[in-house]
Amino acid sequence: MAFELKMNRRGFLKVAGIAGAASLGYLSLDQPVIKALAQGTYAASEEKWVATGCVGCVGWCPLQVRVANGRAVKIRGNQNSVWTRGKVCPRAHLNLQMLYDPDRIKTPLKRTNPNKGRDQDPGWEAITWEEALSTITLKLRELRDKGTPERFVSLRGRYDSASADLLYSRFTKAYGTPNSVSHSAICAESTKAGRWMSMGDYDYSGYDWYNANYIISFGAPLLEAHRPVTGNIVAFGEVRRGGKARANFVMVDPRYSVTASKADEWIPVNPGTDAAFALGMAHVILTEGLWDRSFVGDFNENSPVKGFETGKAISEDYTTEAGEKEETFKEASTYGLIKWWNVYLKDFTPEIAAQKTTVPAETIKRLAREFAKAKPSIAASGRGSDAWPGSGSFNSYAVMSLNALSGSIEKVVNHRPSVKYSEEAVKLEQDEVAEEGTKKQKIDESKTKKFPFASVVTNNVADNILRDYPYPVEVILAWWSNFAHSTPGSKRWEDVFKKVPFVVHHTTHISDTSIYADILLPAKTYIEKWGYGHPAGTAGLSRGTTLFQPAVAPLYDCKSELELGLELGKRLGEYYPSINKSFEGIGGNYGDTAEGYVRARTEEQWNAFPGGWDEFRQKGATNHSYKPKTEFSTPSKKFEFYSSTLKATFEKLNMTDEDLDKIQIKARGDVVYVPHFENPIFIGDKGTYPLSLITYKPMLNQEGRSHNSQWAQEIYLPLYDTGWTNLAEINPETAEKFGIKDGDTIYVESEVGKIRARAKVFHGIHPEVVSMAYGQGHFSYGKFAKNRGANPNAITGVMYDHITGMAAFFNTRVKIEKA
Amino acid sequence: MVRYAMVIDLDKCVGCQACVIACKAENSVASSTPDEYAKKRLTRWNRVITVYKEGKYPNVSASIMPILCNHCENPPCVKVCPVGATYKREDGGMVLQRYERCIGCKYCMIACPYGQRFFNFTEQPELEYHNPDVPGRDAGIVEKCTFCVHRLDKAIAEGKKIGSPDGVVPACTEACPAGTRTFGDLDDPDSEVSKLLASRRNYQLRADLGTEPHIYYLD
Repeated sequence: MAFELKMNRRGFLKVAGIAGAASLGYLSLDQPVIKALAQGTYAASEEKWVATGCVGCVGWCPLQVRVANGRAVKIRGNQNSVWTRGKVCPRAHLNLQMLYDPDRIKTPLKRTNPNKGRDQDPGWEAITWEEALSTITLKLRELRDKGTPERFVSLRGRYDSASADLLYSRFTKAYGTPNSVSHSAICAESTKAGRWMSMGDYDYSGYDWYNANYIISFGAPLLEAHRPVTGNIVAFGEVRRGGKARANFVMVDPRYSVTASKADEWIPVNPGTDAAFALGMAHVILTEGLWDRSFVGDFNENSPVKGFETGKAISEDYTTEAGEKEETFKEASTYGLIKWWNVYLKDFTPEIAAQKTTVPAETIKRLAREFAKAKPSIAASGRGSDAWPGSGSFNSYAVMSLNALSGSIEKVVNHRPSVKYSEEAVKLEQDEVAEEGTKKQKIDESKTKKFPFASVVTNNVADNILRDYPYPVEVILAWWSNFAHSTPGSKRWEDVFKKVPFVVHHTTHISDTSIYADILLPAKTYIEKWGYGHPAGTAGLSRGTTLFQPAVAPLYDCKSELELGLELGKRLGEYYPSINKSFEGIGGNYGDTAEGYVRARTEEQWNAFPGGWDEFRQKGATNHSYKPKTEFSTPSKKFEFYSSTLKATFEKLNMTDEDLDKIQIKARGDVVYVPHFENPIFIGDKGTYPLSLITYKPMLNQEGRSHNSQWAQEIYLPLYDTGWTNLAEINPETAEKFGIKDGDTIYVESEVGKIRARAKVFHGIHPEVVSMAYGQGHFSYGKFAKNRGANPNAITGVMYDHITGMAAFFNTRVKIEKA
Repeated sequence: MVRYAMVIDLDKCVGCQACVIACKAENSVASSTPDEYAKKRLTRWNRVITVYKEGKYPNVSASIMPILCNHCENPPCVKVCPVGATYKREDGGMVLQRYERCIGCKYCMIACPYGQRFFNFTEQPELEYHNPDVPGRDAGIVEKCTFCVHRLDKAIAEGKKIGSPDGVVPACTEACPAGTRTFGDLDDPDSEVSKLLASRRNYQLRADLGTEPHIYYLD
C-alpha cells in the first residue's frame, strides 16, 4: 500500500509537469485533473470514523479514529462525550505513531541466550503463540502442582478496566496467587490519601473547575500530567474565558513549569514544604474567621469563646447557666476541628509556614484570604506535594483540609462515582490450592506495619524478590509495565528480572524490562483492542464510560491483555476444574472472546441506548451526571479533621511509637491523626550532596511510552524549545556556584549512582534543586527512544510514603559537576 | 469575498501542543530524526514557542504561543518567488504552494518574517498513517501551512459550513482541547472571528511590516 501511494505521488508530479509544459502556462490547482491528483487517489475511496478510546492514562478518553482504506490516519476526541467536550489531549494523537511503529514486537519471541544483562544479546527467536502459551502454561502448572502458586507474580502497568477485572483480578485469584502487583504505588497512591483520611474513600478527586473561582495547586501539574489530562485542559480554556468571571489560578512548585506559566501567580517553595504552606493558610482562615459556615459550622452562639486565637486552646465544650454541657463549636459536615486546632493548628502560624517554605508570611496570609473569600475554591495536591517519604499522605491530607474549610467539598472537589458494570457471567471459583495461595502474605508487604494502608507497594516487590522474602518468586508475568525504567532505584528491577528464572513480558516494544524476558509477547496498541473504562476524577460534573474497540485490524500477530487472560484461563482450565469454571462462559451470551466479555460486562451501559450494543459501538461513550454525597465513608459520616479512619488502621495493627519511627513519621499522639507537617527527609547528607533532585512528567511523556514517537520527541520540552532529550535544569546562581554554563554536559550524582545530562540554566528553578524531566534515558525501547537523555530514576533513592506504599520521587540529594 | 483568518486566545493556550501533532497528522508533515533535529532541519507548519520576559528568580514570566503561517494579506513570500510557485488564492485568501513548480531556491523562506516556510531536505518516506487527502512532497521543495485547504475545499464541495464554532475548521483548530483557536471569515461580520476581534484587544505578529497577517492573537 505504501508503495502504491509513492507511485501516486510520483505520478502526480509527472502529470502535473507535463500539463504545465503543454499549456505553456500554469494550470492552477483548481483545475479538476490537478485537484484530483493533488488529493491522492485514496480520497474518493472507503473511509469511516470508528469510536474507541485512549488507554494512555486513567482518563480513558473517548476517541474517534479516521480509518481510510483500512489504515488509521487521524485521531480526534469523540464528539459524543460530554465530559471531554469532544476533545482529546495531544498524547492520544501519538497512538498513530505507536500503532505503525516499525519497532513494535510483531510476533512472540523466545530468548535463546541464557545470560541476561544490558550488554547481552537475548538472541530472540520468533515462536508461535501456541508455543509461547503452552510454555507459560507449563511453568504455571509446575508452580501450582508444587503447591506454591504464590511464587507467580503479575506486574501490571497501564491497563483498562476490562483487563484489570479479568487478568489482574480474576485470573490471579483463580490461579491462587496474592501477587497482583500494579504500578499504582509509583503513580498516585499518596494523592488519594488525603481523601481517604478525611472522607474514607481511597480514590482520586474530581475537580469541577467550571464552577470554581479560585484554584491553588500544590505540586499538581494540572495542565501537564495530572489526570485526567484532557478534562483539565478543556476546563482550563473554559474557566479562563468561558463567559463568567475568570478563575484565579495559583501554582505552588519549586519549578516554573508549563502549568506555572499559565498561573496568575507562581510561588516557588522549598521542596517538600507544601503541607506547611497549606497549614499556614488554614491557620489564617480560622483566626480571621474566614471558614465556610455552612460546611464547617460555627461557634455556639452562647459559647464564651467566639473565635480562634493563635496559640490559644479551645475547650471542646462549656457549661451553660442552666448547668448543661454544650459544644463550644457546632460542626456541620465536619468532625474534629477543635481537636485539630488544639493539638496542632493553633501554633502553626503563617510565620512558621514562612520559615519552612521560604515564602513570606504576608503572601501566605494574602493567599489564604483570597482562597477563602473567592469561593468556590479548589486546593489540589499532586505528585510534587505527595510523592515524599514518610509525609506524602499527610501533605495530601493538609491540602484536602483547605477544601473543607472553604466549603468546597462536593461542590467543586468531588468524589469519583462508581460505575456499575454487569456482573461477570460466571462466578469466580477457587480450589484448595487457590484458597491457600491467595491467603499467603502478599510479596509487597502491603497492609503490614511497614505499609499500613497500602493496597500495593510496587517498588518494594523488587527488594523482596531479591531477598526471597517472604518466599522465592519463580515466574513473573509483566504486562504493559516497565519497572526497569519507571521506578526509583530502577536498577534493582534489572536484578530482579535477572534473578527470577522465568520472566514473561507482554508489551508493544522491546523495552528496558523486555531485554531480560524469557518470553516476549506482542501486545495490541490501544486502538486495536477491546475493553472498557471509566475515567478518574474528571474536571466537570458529568463523566462517562468509554468503549475500546479495534479501529483497525491488528497489525501483527499480537494479543491484548484481555485476550491473554482469556487464553491463560482456558489453557489452565484444561487441568484445573475451578479455573475452568471461572473462565468457561465468561462472555455470557456473547462468546468467550474479548469482544464477548466486553459486551457482556457493559450490558448495563449499552442497554441504555435504544439501539443497544450497535449504538454503543457507534457512539463509543456514555455520559453520566454527578450526584453529590451528603455523607462520607468515615466512622462519623463527616469530613474528618481528625482521622478516625487512620487511627483505626493504626490501632488494628497495634502501631507503637517505634513502629512510627520505622515508617518515618515524626509526629506523636493525636498529632498523627490530624493534618500536620512533617519535615522532608532525604537520602544523602547536605554537605556532600547540596542539592535535591526533583523530577517531573512533561505532557508528552505518556508514562514513558511515547519515547519512540518522533511526534512526541521533537517537541518534548516546550518551555526550552528542546526535543529528543531531557535536561538537568538549574538556577543561574547554582550554575555559577558550580562553574556550569548552559549547555554543558554535567554529572548528576547521588548516593545511588550518577548520570550524565545536559545542563539547562534557567531562572525558573529553585536554587537548591536540580530538576529533570522523567521518561527519557531508555536503554531499550526502539531506535528512537534508545539512549536519549538520562533517566533520573536510576539515581533516585528508594523510600516510601509508608501509609500508602507510594514510592518517593523527591527524596534524593545530589551533587553536580562538569563532565 | 471570503478571507479566512484565525484568532488565537493566548490566555487559554496551555502549550500542550495537540495542535502541533494534529497538524503533522493531518498534513502528513515529516517528523525529524534526532540527527535532523540537531541540524535544525525541522518542518513545523505549526509550532509552539515560549517567549520569556526579562526577570530573575523568582520573577519569571513566560508566554506560550502557537505560531503558524500568517496567510498575510500582503505576503512577502509571494512577491519574491521567481517561478510563481507560491500564490495567494483569491477565494479564501490562503497563501499556498504549488509543490510541482517550486525550485527550492528558498527565497520565500528568507522573505517570510515569521520563519513559517520549510525546506524539504530529504526524501520523505510514505507512512501508513499519512493522510490520503493531501499530496506528498518531494525533497528539494518548500512547503508550508495551507489552512488545511483540502478540508475546506471538501467542505465546500459537500455543501458544509466553514468556520468556528460548528463548521469545518483546520485540524489545529479542531484539535485544540482548550478551545484556543477560532477560524472563520474576516469579511463576514457575523463570523466568530469577526465577533472576537470586535470584542477583545488583539494584535498581529509584526504588523509594523505591513504584511497584514490573518492570524490574530488575544492575550
